[in-house]
Amino acid sequence: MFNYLLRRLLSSVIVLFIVVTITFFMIQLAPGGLSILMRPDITAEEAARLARNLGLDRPPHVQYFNWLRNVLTGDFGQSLAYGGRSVLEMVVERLPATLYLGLSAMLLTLVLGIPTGIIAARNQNNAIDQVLSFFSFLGLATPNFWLGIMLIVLFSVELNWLPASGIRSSGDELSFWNRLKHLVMPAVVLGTSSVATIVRYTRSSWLETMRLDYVLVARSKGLSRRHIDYKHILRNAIIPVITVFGIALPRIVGGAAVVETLFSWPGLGKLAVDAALRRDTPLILGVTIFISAAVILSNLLVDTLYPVLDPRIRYE
Amino acid sequence: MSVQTRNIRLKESPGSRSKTIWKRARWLLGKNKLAAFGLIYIVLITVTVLIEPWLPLGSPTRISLLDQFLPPSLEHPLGTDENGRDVLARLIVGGRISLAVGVAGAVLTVLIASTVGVISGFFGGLVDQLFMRLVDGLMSIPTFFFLLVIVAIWGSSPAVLIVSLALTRWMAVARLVRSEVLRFKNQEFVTAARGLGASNIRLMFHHLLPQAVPSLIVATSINVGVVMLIEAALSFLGLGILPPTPSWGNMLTDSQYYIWYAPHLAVYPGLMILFSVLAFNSLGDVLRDLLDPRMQGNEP
Repeated sequence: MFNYLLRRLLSSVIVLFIVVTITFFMIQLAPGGLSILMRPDITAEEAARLARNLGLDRPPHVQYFNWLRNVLTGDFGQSLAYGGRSVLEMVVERLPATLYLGLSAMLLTLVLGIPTGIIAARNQNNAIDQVLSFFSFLGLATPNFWLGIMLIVLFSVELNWLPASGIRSSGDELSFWNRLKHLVMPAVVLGTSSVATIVRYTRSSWLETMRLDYVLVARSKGLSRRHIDYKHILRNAIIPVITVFGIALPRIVGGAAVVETLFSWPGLGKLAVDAALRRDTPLILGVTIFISAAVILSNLLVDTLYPVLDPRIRYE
Repeated sequence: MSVQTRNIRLKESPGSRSKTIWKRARWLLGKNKLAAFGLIYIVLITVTVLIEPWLPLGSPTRISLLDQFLPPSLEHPLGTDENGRDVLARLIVGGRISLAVGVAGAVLTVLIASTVGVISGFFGGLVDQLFMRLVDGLMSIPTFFFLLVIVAIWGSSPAVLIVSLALTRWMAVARLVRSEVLRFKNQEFVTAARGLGASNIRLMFHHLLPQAVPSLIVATSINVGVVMLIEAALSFLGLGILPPTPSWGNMLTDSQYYIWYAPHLAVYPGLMILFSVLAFNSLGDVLRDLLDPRMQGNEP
């Protein structure tokens, strides 16, 4: 167990290392090299001084270790478009909004996705299953931003029930109801494709478990279907679904860029898109590395949880 | 190929071994109506975007402020947009770009994936370890943000989009190819070829890679849909195909602001994306049943 965790931790470190290395190569291969991290409007003299300070005159491997050290100490440099503000500071400032939205979408995925998958599996091949399967198929094919636009048309423009943008209305900051109304559409749009994925996963995991011998034994003992489903199948069928967390997480985080922009949600996704639109390279690199690290850590956490939930899994 | 065709057994169609692949394709399409419509849709769209230059349509890019938000008419079958441009012409020209990026991106994805997968599976050892750690790594991070980085640095020409989409999508397919190679690399026909003096390159690309072709065809079809979705999202954000060139994604960028005057502007491009992705996904499902019966019912 301890060895497994150590190995898992090590591989997370390697992944993180890969991310940082890839970003370094991106900067090196960029037209102009590291100068993309500098403000374009400075004089040649200033540029030369900055280049020396940034270590541009050093050999590439020294530059690489500098980059590694800077990133590991949380020094992502300064934003170009936002008046030289510290990238780390901006990222930390935007983090809560993204966490709030992402966790809501994740919650929605689990609460909606797993039961729906079970319903589909229990009704295998009849009309209910077919309708649910069709909708999960549809959910995977719908562009999330378009779904968002359509929801805005319906619920904000036509019905005027829900606000079309923002995290809360100004002046109404503590009202739970107000926050919830702002949250509904972004969370639904962000969660749609993960819900669809998890429905399919749960369904097939359930159907696989149903065919196992111990279920046949339970059935031949004459136990009721209800009892078999919820006492015998559910507990085993649910376990592989947890791996979906690892699949849904990058999906939700990646989707946040589009959804936050569409709904003017003040989170990291919108920050990344704004940075990309303004060619603010240090900022977008900082956000990307930070988000990747966060996702890698969450995955590590879930993997640690896995053997706790399923004692059959023993890592040597 | 012979190894696989011998193993094909379709539960639902007794005697399928005597049927040709076309007969089985027709049978599968008859069973999966969505995929049948999908195939028709794909053919129709492809033909339309290819013959667009000869169609009697308005200009997709000429701005005419006198013709803003015109309702559908004979001259403009789907009306005009906020700049007085013909919506149908824009849909068709935009479709050509969206489809081209989707297909090129998917093909490049599969090319990268095949190369990595074959090398990784064939050589094993350290090479395999390195590639597979890279695959694990890239699969566990939100690659959409890397796309944003790439676009911020290199701009968003169609070529950059295609390459960067492929570079962020090849991992799952590479894993698939690798497992196929592992399955076959110790079989007699490979040993025999090696005995006859075939080089490693020949073994990899002539003997082993063809075993993965059925899975690769399926992967290509599904990836066309996924790449189109991502391209549309980037274009919507203003980071993909840039105006004045229309694409289904960037046609939606401003549509939400004109929702009062022209709700249809937000509907058509979205539906085109949705139908295309549905079509390629369901076609992928049918191809899987047709070419690779081992995969049936697994993979959600």
